[in-house]
Amino acid sequence: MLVILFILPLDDYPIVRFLLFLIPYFTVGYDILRKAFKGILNHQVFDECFLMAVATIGAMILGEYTEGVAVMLFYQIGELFQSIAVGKSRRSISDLMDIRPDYANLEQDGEVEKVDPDEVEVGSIIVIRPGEKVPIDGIVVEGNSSLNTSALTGESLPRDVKPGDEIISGSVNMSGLLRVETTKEFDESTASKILELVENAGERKAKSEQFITKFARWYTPAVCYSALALAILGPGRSPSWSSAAPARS
Amino acid sequence: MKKTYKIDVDCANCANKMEQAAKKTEGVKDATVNFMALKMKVEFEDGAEPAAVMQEVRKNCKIVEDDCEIFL
Repeated sequence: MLVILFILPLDDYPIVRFLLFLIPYFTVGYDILRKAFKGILNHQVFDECFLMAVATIGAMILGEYTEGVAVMLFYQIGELFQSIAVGKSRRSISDLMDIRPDYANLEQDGEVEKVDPDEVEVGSIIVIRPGEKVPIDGIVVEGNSSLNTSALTGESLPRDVKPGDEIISGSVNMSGLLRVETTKEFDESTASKILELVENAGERKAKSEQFITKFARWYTPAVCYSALALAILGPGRSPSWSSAAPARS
Repeated sequence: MKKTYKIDVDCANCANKMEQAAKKTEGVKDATVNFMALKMKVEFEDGAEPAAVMQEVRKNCKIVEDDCEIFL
């Protein structure tokens, strides 16, 4: 629509041109204007939306309609890129969460029962069938198999295990049935510890993140104030607004 | 007493603003917002009532950042 408006020779009908340009302006910029307004209501005046609202309203008043719409459009594109990037990060983190097993095959009195991994005590025997994830850290009691540890270590070659070998939770049992005596509880097992570290990693901020947090709080208001100062003090001692506006030819 | 809540927030700056707002709320000893995992961990003062304090936190967060949401 913007391209059409650009091409159409509507210079003879300035009011119509203005109204037509308002359509894309409000389509793209409605959210931003609304946020700027709410920010003012909540005493959070000087934020990015306020800056853009002032800039684009000024542009519209001056007759630079394409500038006004372009600012809003590019901001929305930036926001789109941000949500794509954040979505990808979150999905890769939630894929990581999949290494946690949901059940354990506990062997009690010769019978194998599917239980919650939390319920398995240290020293019990669990059975891990081919294709299942190892639920709890332990030592192999019986069975030979290869384990896929790529989720934990990134190692592409499977690791062969035989009785007496220690295995860690989160790896996937590939070829043979294993009977394992657990050495740790579920919460203390490798997979759970890794997930705990990942979840808590976001809480301790890096030094640069702390710096950016403080910087961001001062940066946007400072830009707003200096823009305001530039507008008022900039044109000189006797600002004459008509000469400051760009000439339209 | 610490409690973790599920939140919904769009940008990292908004998460920071929510954290600051939560920390300033009465009855809150400390708060951390995990933007990536969409979780907020709040440590309450001794004797504070979590449900009431969280309503205050939610209100304060809405003031600083309208698009955010805390699932209580």
